[in-house]
Parts: sequence; C-alpha cells; structure tokens
Amino acid sequence: MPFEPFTAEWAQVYKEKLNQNPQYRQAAKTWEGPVVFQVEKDPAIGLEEDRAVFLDLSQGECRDARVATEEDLQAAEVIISGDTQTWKQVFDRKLEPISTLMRGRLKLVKGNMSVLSAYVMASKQLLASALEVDTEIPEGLD
Amino acid sequence: MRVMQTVSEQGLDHSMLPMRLYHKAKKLGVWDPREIDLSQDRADWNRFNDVEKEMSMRLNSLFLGGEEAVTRDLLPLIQVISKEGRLEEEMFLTTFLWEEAKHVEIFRRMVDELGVTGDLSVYHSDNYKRIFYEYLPEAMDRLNRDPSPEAQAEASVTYNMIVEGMLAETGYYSTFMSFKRLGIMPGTVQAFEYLKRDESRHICYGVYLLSRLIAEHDHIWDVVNKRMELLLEPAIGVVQDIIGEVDELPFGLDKDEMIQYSMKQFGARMNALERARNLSVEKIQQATEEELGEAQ
Ligand SMILES: [Fe+2]
Ligand SMILES: [Fe+2]
Repeated sequence: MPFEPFTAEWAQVYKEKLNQNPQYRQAAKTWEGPVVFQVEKDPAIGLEEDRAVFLDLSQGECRDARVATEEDLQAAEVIISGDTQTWKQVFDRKLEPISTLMRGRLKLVKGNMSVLSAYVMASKQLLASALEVDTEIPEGLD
Repeated sequence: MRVMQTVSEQGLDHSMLPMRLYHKAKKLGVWDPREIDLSQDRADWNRFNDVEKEMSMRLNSLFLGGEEAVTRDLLPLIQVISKEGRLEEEMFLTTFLWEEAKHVEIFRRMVDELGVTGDLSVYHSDNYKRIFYEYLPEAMDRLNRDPSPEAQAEASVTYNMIVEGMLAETGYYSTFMSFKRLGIMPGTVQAFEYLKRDESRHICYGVYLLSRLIAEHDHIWDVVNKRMELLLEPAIGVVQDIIGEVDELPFGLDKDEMIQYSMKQFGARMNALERARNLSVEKIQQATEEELGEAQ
C-alpha cells in the first residue's frame, strides 16, 4: 500500500473538502497566503522523496491544491512538515493537530508561529478537512 | 472506621514529589506581598505614556482576574484529593491555595498603589472570558459532583496546564523579562520572581497529578489530549488579544519570545505526560521536578 497523502489525487479531493467546510471559510476570512503540507521521505515504506502539497488559500477559499513544485515551496509563506509516522498518527486521529504543532512534532519549517497563531481556528479546520479525505497509509508505521 | 496514616507504621512519605514540593513551599512560598516596595514602581508608572499605561493595566487586569479565579476554583480539587486519602498531596495543596491568595493580594495591591480606579474587567476579552469565566470554574465545580479520574484530568489540564502553564507562566515570564531588561518597575519584577517560583511548583504538581492519572488509567492520555486541543484555541486567543492589536508592543515585549517560550514549556510538559504512559505510579511519585518538565 503506498503512502497516499499529498499526491495530486489527494490534493484534488482535499480542495473540495476544504471548500465545503463552512467553519474553515469563516475562520480563514482574513487569512491570505499559500500554505504547504510536507511529509519527509521514508524509503522504508517506498516514499523516496519528500512530498508536499501546495495550497493556494485566500480569504477562506482554497483556489488550488496541487503537488508542490520547487517554485511553490519558494512561494509558500507557511510550510508545515512532519515525518510519515507523525502524519499517520494525525490522520488516524491519535494525535491532535494543534497540540502536535505546538509540541513541534509537526514542524513549522517556514513561517512565523506568532503569525500563524493568529489563525489557530483556521489552521485547526485546515487540518480537520485533511482528515476528511479518505486516506490510505501503510500499516506498521506506529 | 478511619485509619490515621501518621500514627500507623506508614507515617509520612517525604520522598514523594508532592511532599518535596511541600517542603519547598514552606521555604520559598512565604514571601509577604505587603513587604514588596512599590515606591519606585509608582514613580515609573507616572512616567509611562498612555500606551504603556494601557498595556500594563491590561496585563494586570488579566493577571489579577486569573489569580482570583484560581483562588476561588481550587477547593473542589483539594476536597477530591483529601477524600482519596492522599495526605501528602493534600499537605502540598494547603500551600497551593494560600499562595494563590497572596497572588491575588499582590496584583490588587499594585492596582491600588498605582492609584488606578475603575472597572478593570473591561480588559477581559471573549477568549479570556471563555477560559476564566466558563471552562475553568465549570471544570473545577464538576469535581463537587464527579470525582472520576476523567473529571480530575479535565480539571487539571484546564487549571494547571492551560491557565497556569500557558497563560500565567508566559505572561509573567514576558512581563518580568521586559521590565527587567528596561530596569523599571523593580517591585513588580521582584514580585514576578516570587510568582514564577510559586507557579512552577503548582504546575509541577499538575504534571504530577496528570502523570499519576495516566499511569493509573491509560485512556486518560486521550482525555488529556482532547481537553488540551479544545482549550488551546481560546488560550492562544487570549495571547493574540494582547499581542495582535498593535505592530509594536510597549516595553520591548516580544511576540516571538512569548510564543517560543510557551511552546517550549508546553512541549516539555506534554512529553513528560506521554512518558507517564509507560511508568508505574511509584516511579512517578519518585520523579524529579526536571523529569516532569520543570526546568529549574
Ligand atoms: Fe497564582
Ligand atoms: Fe498557581
């Protein structure tokens, strides 16, 4: 079974889910700027390279979600990154997203935490919608 | 019939963490708010500009309200611990409530000495009210009817981890650092030094209590996480309500330093709680403060 999150197909479904999330729309009304979710490579489960999804977010709307290119990574104002185990636990709802970010298990590799913290509710909903995507993650990760 | 612990073979276990905190409190928790000299603070305050006055009163109002809340809300937890027959923990908790009373006294004294009058609750934002007017008193009052481990865990997360561990500690640390760097408000700086030490013991007891509950019942780890996640949003909101308004905070208060500090403390304590899942209650009772995430 492949590591599914953050592929092109995943990104498309995620975009739909996010745009159907009224709490996100409300909380992110004043939030502007692209966000990237990234998973670190894990050859043990066949993930040979880091993989990232680029979210073009504007005022509560997701205008585009795609696999991030080099330019996307440059353009992103916020990059949230984690290893496969951490993401799996988040997707399995064994880890709570905001606490995980606060504990630095999901790392803010780009961006400013004091800026992001102005959008806690939006970030929470951003991740909540990601968990809505039917996502297959290989067993044996935790 | 009741059994008297101290006249039995059992005696008192001085090696237990709460007992070590108790002995520490008897030495470090005995400062008198009335003995702090605020005369230079009054002179400094009179030289503050409007923005500085506004910010220092806003902070004082949040701290004072918070200290009153924790003083009024702690009793049900002490009652539960007492009924469970945990004498050593109860002995520590007697110092805890007394210290909170002195914290109320010192913050009110600052207001009075600076000659500030009027209703300071205008500074309490919606996020602040959610935590101090609703979540905290509700979680603590629930213990009067429901002493279950779940209720204790939710109460302690709210009281020790969020209110004391995130809000009070970060607020006291950053205000202390700013005033100290500027060489102003010496009496207030002195008070914060005492306050931080007291709070460190209170929070340490909270981490101990939660660790013990997690070691006793593994599912409490999930209860803790869910509660934390629920409260992080309004808690971060309280901080945002202070730092989000203006581009530049007075007194050199540093937004990033505040956030970094609170994340570091939060992380250390969550890691300690997670470790408790694999520890015995005996091990937790013997833990050092450092092992429970209290940097000395
Ligand atoms: Fe206090
Ligand atoms: Fe306290």
